[in-house]
Amino acid sequence: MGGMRALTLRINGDEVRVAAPDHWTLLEVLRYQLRLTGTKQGCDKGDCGACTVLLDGRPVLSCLLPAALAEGHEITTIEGLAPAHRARGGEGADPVQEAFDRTGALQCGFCQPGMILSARALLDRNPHPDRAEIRAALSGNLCRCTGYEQIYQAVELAAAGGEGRD
Amino acid sequence: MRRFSYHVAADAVEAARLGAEGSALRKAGGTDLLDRMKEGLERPATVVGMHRALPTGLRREGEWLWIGAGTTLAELGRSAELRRLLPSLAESAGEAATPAIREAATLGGNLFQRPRCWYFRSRHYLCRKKGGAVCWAQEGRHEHHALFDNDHCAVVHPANAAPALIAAGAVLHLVGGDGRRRQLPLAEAYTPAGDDPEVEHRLAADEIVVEVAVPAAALGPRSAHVEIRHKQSFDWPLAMAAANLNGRPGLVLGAVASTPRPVPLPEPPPADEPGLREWAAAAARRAVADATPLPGNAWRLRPARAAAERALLRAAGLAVDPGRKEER
Repeated sequence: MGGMRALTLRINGDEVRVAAPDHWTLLEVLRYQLRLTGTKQGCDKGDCGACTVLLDGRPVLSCLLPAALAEGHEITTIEGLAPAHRARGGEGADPVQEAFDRTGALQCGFCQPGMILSARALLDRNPHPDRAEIRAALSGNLCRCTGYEQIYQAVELAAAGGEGRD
Repeated sequence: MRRFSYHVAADAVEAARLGAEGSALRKAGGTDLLDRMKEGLERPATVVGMHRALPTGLRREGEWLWIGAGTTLAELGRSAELRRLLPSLAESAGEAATPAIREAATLGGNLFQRPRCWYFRSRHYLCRKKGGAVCWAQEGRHEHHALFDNDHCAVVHPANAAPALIAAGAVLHLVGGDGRRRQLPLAEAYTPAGDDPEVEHRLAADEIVVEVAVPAAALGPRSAHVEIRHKQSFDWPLAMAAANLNGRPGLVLGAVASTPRPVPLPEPPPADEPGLREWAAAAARRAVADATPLPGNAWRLRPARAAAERALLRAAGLAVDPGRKEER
């Protein structure tokens, strides 16, 4: 029961070949096979959003996704955001990451990768969301430190093109 | 999570057949199944992936709107066509759980997820749903439990999409492991926990839902779904209701009993607004009139009644004033 499976995954623009047990989730492959530990293991049952990654640009919970199901999709983890931004001609980190930095939208930082990826997915499909849309898009990402206000401000700042609060 | 073999079913018949073998379990979106497996409630030797086996998307054919059972809640919530044809379903799917859950969770999985009773979901409690002799919710914490039919097992049915589909007269299209096909009205698909707490539906072990068909008479702008929750998002409803006034009027409560609960609407709705508002209020009162709440959840009768009234008003195109003091 439960043999190993050869997987070909496309992660942050690179094709990656790994062998993983049948029952492993994408989260486990990312963290324990590929050492992409920016994706966090929080509740591990779909409640906290810390394990959020983008699958073809849409936010999914990697803790509830069998790794085999991620084959054939473009996976983006927090490690891939800044390189992708630079590959598009940008400088520094992704504007959402920069905005989180400038607004101080973190304390312990554990929720931050999932929070940023959910925000990136929102801005990619809706570049100018209002506060209600931001709250709805981040509603599955729990933060126990900040009270969310600066996180919402960060997304608004990124949507405004980074102009504003320093 | 314990080890299992993962098999991707090539088609619906294979998914239906393999899912009935031994301890195998089928997985659509997996948002409920993997949770139960991680909690230690399920220990399948094989998980049968259905993502290649289930149709996805919406199509109009004949006098029906067909919805693939593999369509995700996110797709349903985003669909402009569904917002036009059956807004109650688009609203219920688009507001369920969280954005990331909705990207994975499917319509079929939503309709047949297991109840969320915290005693059932804990491996430390052997309750009647797991073959035990006790419903721990009866004497324990039961504020989120059933308001009706709760003397044997007090779970509530959690499917957000079910009230809207039942109010619209939806029919399930099923495929069996030997290739047989049959239809089953969704209103008849669920079984009350009082009959046998371990059985939740009338599908055979080797049957799966492949499509859900909604009759054209129920399609149009006059339907609505209302959930009342402690939190605006990512919370299980205290009560929900869906109304459909496009054809024969339908009103169904959710999250109040072990099955979605249709409410009789004997007379056709009046045409004038004052009459409609009184008709909706009377229907909502009737909706909870024969409730048998437990000592710690009688307060949820008011949200249940409010959900019913608001769903009817919204389906009728009338404004709902959420600040209005509810009738006691």
